[in-house]
Amino acid sequence: MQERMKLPFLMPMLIFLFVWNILPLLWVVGLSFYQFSVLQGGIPRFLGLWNYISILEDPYFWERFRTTFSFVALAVSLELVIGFALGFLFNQKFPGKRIMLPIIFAPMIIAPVAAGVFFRFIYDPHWGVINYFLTKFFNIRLEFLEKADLALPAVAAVDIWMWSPFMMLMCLAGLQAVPQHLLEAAEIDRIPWFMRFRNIVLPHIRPVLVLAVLLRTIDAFKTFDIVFVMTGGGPGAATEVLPMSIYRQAFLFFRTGQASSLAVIVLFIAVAFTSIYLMMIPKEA
Amino acid sequence: MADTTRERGKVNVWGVLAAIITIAYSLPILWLVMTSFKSRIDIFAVPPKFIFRPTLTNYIYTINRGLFWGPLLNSVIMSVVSVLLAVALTIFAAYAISRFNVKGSQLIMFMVLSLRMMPAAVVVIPMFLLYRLLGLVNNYIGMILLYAMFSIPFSLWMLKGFIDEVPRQFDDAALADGASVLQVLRDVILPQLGPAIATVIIFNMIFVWNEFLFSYILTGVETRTIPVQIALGIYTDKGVDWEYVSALSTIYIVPIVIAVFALQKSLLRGMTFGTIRR
Repeated sequence: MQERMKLPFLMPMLIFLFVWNILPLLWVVGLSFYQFSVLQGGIPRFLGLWNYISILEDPYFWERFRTTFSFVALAVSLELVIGFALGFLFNQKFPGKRIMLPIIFAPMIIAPVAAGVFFRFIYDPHWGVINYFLTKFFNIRLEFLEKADLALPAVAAVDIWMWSPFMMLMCLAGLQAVPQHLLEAAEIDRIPWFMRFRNIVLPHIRPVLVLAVLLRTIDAFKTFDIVFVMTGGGPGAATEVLPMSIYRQAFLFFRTGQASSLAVIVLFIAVAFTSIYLMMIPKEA
Repeated sequence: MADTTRERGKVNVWGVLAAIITIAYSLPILWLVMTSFKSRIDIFAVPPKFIFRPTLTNYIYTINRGLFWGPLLNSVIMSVVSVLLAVALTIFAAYAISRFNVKGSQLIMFMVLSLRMMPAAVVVIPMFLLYRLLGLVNNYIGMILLYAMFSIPFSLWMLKGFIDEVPRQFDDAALADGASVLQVLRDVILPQLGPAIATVIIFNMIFVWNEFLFSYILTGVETRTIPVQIALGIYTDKGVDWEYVSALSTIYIVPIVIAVFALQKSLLRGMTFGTIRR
């Protein structure tokens, strides 16, 4: 009987989502088949798959995929290592934890724009703190954001600073699921710590860590704000990750059609990651 | 006896290490806040000044430079109104998906999550064209609707999870007493969801508060939010204006830092879209 409330309950949200989300997505898919520029306007010319072919044939875009991959791999792997170490440390018993934890978690929800802008100041070759200490102790000065080979790691470092706490949070959650009596029994039996870790701890935290790595991969793949404010994709195209590339193509070069097909490719990658994520959610979390 | 002292010594080693790491970890934020209280000369001092005479000059300058109250108010209004709208819409849908036998509910949940997982850059092009067509560029209602949409996926996942946890017997008992579904939702479910809804609202507000790309593309001077103002306000004809950026950023992150303390318990659940419920 109450089932008849189904539609009135669901519909407002679904209609809203359709107009504000599905429709734009269909639009971007449509645009990707046309030659069109926001700047010139006019009637879009149908190109079929040509935009896709030109992207996949252009080494410039392959380079963007590689940049994105390096960024994601570098950021997520270091976040995992650092987060893991922090997780183990904060799993110990000591006083003051209730004050320390929120302080460590704070970077995770700080606006990326604010963090990015401020790290530019910290990285500054002339009055940045890092370069002050580098000059003082090693007598070198690094132009972090101006040198092509330093810019990507420098931007990734901000992401690592912001998101290692997330890995730590997940790691802590996993560690709490480890049955304490098993660990104690193993300790009494004098089983070495790495065996204890591999056979007792790891199986219990693995599901959570898989989720953590996936979520971070998806999120790092989306990175735009930090790159935008720190380097704008430069120097050259050294930090031009895919979202930045879409932005540049669409709003700096006004190649709307081509940018749309790049967006559709990125969309497919994101949806693929989402399905993997959903498959990995533990049933009894 | 000897054992407890050893235990206590051990405790302190971990505690000291954790304290050092906590301080090191907060250094960038600390440096930002310190910079915002420095005079212009101290900001650019070489060697950098770690001890200095604090001053409010940067804040007074930031408030008076123009485009301060506007973007601040816009950020507040947009995050509050859009999130309340999204949560109000989503509670019904979350209840329906949790309680009724909805065909394709799995698909809805998957699609909604995908929307959340895709880069904003993917939809920013059609959003821009759509808003230009509808005349919603640089428009409050347009931005609020956009951010409401932006908040729906997270709200749906979180609220569905929270409603799933309320035992069905409550609903059934109320329904057996002759209550309507709306009454069940209002009198049985909502009272139990109070803290949960507060959590969802705070999280969403943070996400909207931090959002940059859509605001950058779709707003103008009148509807600009703080993140855009930070990104655009760095540059002046004198070069990079660090006095302004540090003061504005500090004001901007204060509510967020307060929120972390409020959200401490639900941080894990929120950051995983409710997929981990502890």
